Amino acid sequence: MKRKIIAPLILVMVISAACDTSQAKKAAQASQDISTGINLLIETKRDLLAQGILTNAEAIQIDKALLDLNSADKVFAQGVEQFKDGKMSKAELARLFTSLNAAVRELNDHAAIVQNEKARATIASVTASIAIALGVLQGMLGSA
Amino acid sequence: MDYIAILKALAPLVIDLAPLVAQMIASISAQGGKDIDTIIAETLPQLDANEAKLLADLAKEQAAIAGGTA
Repeated sequence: MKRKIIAPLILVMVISAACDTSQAKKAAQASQDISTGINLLIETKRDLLAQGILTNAEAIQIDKALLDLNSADKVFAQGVEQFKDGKMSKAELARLFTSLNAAVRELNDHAAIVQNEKARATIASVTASIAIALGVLQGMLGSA
Repeated sequence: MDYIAILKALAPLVIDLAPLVAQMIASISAQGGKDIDTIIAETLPQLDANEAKLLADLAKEQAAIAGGTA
């Protein structure tokens, strides 16, 4: 009788651990995608400045927003590591995601007020790649 | 010990969970060969490099404005 109970319990525990590992891996990958997106946006911003279609004042605002996002992503990546090791709950990781989400919104706000239409569209195309990574996390942590 | 009875009792559970387990295995396989530690070990230095680039750019752009070349 005991074995009838223990076997399904072990199965549920194994599946639960596999789900957590899978979620941690998705979160780690999304964090890396955001980091890659930030680097791409830095290069894009430099290019737009060199073309003279982005002002230094606009570039400074984007830099500051990117620094905030970069810091939020770093804290999130460290949180994923703790989540993987069982030192952080999914709810705590979701709170770090909220900061990440706020930093992306701040970046979008600064990108939206760039005066030159071509520069604005180019920046928007790069921030869209960051939004995709954020969407993966939203799906995973939104209900935590 | 009646192993046949135990197997009969577990059989419906195994059959019910089979699609879920198959889906999980497929999902994990689809994520490629890198493990979490490798992904994070790659990401943190990338973020440090991003920060260094951004701070350098910020200083340069602020200097350009101060020098009147904005």
